[in-house]
Amino acid sequence: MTAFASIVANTLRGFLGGRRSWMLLALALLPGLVQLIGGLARGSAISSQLYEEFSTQVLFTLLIPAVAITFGANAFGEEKRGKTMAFLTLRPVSRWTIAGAKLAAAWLGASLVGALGAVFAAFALGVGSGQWTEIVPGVVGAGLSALAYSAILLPIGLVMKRATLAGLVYLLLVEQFLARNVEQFSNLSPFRIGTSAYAGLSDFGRVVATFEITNGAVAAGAGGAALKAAAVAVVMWAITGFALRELDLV
Amino acid sequence: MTAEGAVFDLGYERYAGPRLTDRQVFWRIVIDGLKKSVGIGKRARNKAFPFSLVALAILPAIGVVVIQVVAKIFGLPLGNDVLLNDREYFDWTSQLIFFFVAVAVPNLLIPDRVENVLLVYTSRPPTINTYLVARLVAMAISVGVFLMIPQLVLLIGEALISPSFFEHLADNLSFWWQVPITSLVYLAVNVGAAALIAAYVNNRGAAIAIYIVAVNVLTGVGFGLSSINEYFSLIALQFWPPRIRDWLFGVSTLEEIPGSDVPLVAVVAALLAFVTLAVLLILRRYRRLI
Amino acid sequence: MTGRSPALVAHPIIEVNDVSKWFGDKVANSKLTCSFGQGVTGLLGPNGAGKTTLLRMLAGLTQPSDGTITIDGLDPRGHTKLFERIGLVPEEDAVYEFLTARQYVTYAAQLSGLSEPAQAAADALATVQLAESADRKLGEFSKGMKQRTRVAAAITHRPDILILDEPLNGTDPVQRARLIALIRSLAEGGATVIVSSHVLAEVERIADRVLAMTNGRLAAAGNIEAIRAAMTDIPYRVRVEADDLRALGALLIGHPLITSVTIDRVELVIETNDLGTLGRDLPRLAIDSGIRITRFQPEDMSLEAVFGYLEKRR
Repeated sequence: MTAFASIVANTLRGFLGGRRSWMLLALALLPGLVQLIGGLARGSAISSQLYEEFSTQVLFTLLIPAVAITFGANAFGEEKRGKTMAFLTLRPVSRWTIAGAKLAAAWLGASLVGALGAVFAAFALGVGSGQWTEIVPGVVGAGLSALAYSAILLPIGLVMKRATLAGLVYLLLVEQFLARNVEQFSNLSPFRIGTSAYAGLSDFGRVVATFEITNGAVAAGAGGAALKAAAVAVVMWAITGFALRELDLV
Repeated sequence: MTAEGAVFDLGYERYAGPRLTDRQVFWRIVIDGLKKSVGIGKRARNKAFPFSLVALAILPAIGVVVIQVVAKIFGLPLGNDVLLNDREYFDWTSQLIFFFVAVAVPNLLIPDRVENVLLVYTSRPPTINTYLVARLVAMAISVGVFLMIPQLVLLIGEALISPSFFEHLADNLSFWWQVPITSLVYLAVNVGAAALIAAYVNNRGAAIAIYIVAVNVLTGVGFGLSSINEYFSLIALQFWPPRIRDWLFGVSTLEEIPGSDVPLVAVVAALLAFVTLAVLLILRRYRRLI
Repeated sequence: MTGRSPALVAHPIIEVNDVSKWFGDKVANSKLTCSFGQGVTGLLGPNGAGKTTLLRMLAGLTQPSDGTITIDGLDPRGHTKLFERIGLVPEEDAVYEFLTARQYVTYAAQLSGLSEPAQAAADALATVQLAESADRKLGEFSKGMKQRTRVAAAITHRPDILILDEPLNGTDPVQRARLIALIRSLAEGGATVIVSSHVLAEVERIADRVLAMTNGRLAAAGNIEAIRAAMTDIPYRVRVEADDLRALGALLIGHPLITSVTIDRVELVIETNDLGTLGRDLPRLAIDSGIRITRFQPEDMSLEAVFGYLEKRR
């Protein structure tokens, strides 16, 4: 196993291991479960309504950002708190590789949780209303949103003790307030990266319409969203690699 | 002394000075908790978040009073819907205490546990129950003050600009039971949920994130499932306090919210059951630790 | 003094040149110049002397505020390839508690780029006598077991530079003896080993050479005897037992080698600046005066005594 792969594997083991995995699994499956119960009890209209008003909202505004923020912030934050930075960095592995592996681990972990939730919710929609088109948009949207969030929090977690809190404040202040009201901010919003990708790929008009209202000035489209997420990831990876080279690591 | 060994009297004496009573010890822990919850005695950056929230909580109350003063000076008419009243003010402060509690409760409970300080408390006269009660009292005081101060600013400000200060207070006697009881309900729900999570999660950041996500997800789940049966809306614990508040203030502002037809007694029962369960689970966790 | 400073070695692997490190207005290390070569060097000093900061800089974890550190002429912070040769056991009692000892050491081997990390991990765990506990979670380990696991992770890639910050912390006497033997054997195999400790007896047992630090500065360097010998302003203390203490005392008062003489119950406590000459002259003086010396014991050759002096001088 290469150093990159072993850092990814061990970081993911820390994020998803033990009881935590069950809690994350439960959180991911909850929206779909509610929707499934609602759909089975009250029919397809309720299933669609719950998907639009509940599942996608919970997943994209809350669950994916919170998990990606926590994983991004803790990718290095846990190493610093646990005082294991020396173990990780005093190896013949370039700082860029370490930064890249940590980003990949945070992204994969958050994407896994987000995509699982999105797939299950889309599955519940299919069962409840016969609309089976939302799996791919959900997975792509979750993956891109998770990438942007975890990338932004990666260097913050390296330099700040309370990075998770900072991330949540960012989520509430920038996403919920600034990006909603100021056009320039909405283009930089990781949340809207995910929802614009979703809206660009989805055939489900009601959800697309809801997301287009939320997205404001951000046009729907998976290609643009993927580019933005990739650009954010590259910039943040570079900042983190540079910080690992230049900062004291204990 | 024996033939093989001896212990010499080196003048060691047991501490014979005054000691704090159990009650004093309890209040010392409460005061310590109060300081920690708002970052007193810590660096400025630890104070920034709680004090910003307190400022945000109080500023609108001051604004309301100032607007009334200006309107009075210039004889401008003010409609009732222009200003926030004490009931509506809870809509604002409850948002803020949600975040205050999200950060303060994990700060209060998790470091003591993770850094193995609990043994320092419990190796002395206080028991783990004393510690927990003192921590919860500290949280209750800080959240209570947080909720009450803006309301008092509002009341006293309005009283000062009213024709008769005391007449205004006499006209608003209901304030003295409506506002504290409403505050207590907000406190019970928020601190109960945050403390329950902080008791079982060892990472402060994760505890904050889980609390914020859990409360919001439960709201979504409750409202989502209310389409099946309106009693499922009780899962949305965030909406218990406004339901009880509206009843206390004798108004009805939540008709549009799913589950508004659920009888109030069910909401109160859910609240009491939740608080009892939270207390039992927290006690269980800490008794296993000590 | 002429020639090379005792803080420098003839064939240096690690060179520290005029290094200072400060954190805000707190100076952790001040103008340190020293070098390390093959064998065990003990870095000795009380808590807060600046040992850990120096070790972190040697390992490239932190960078000097001033001065340079090189390993075979290269800056460790800019050349991660150097870490193929370095093993570090940091002071902190830190491991990934969710991993087993085997997973932890294998992870270290994978990060070090070994082709057979599982085998290397098994070997390293066997070396520190943890083979039987290898599949237990580190969270269940005692402090001493965690420490041995961290040593295993540090030696799994067979480094030729080993930096150990308080490596014997938390170990019981048997484990300590084994770790000391392991450290000695690595040094005898040609490794450059740097061991920090505030426990003087440990350093005395492990190290060939000592760098003593106080307040972030080098207070002394060399082997213990040489450091003691260099402290000419502090007299040696010798305890002497003889059949006629008073007669021997009277004989020594006024002797040019002796700075003080005290009778302490059944022995004479003598202070001298020239222990070697006294050791030669005293028996002859005693024989000439018909006094029989039954014991001659220099009392302060231990590292503890030397360090006590260094501490007083700072």
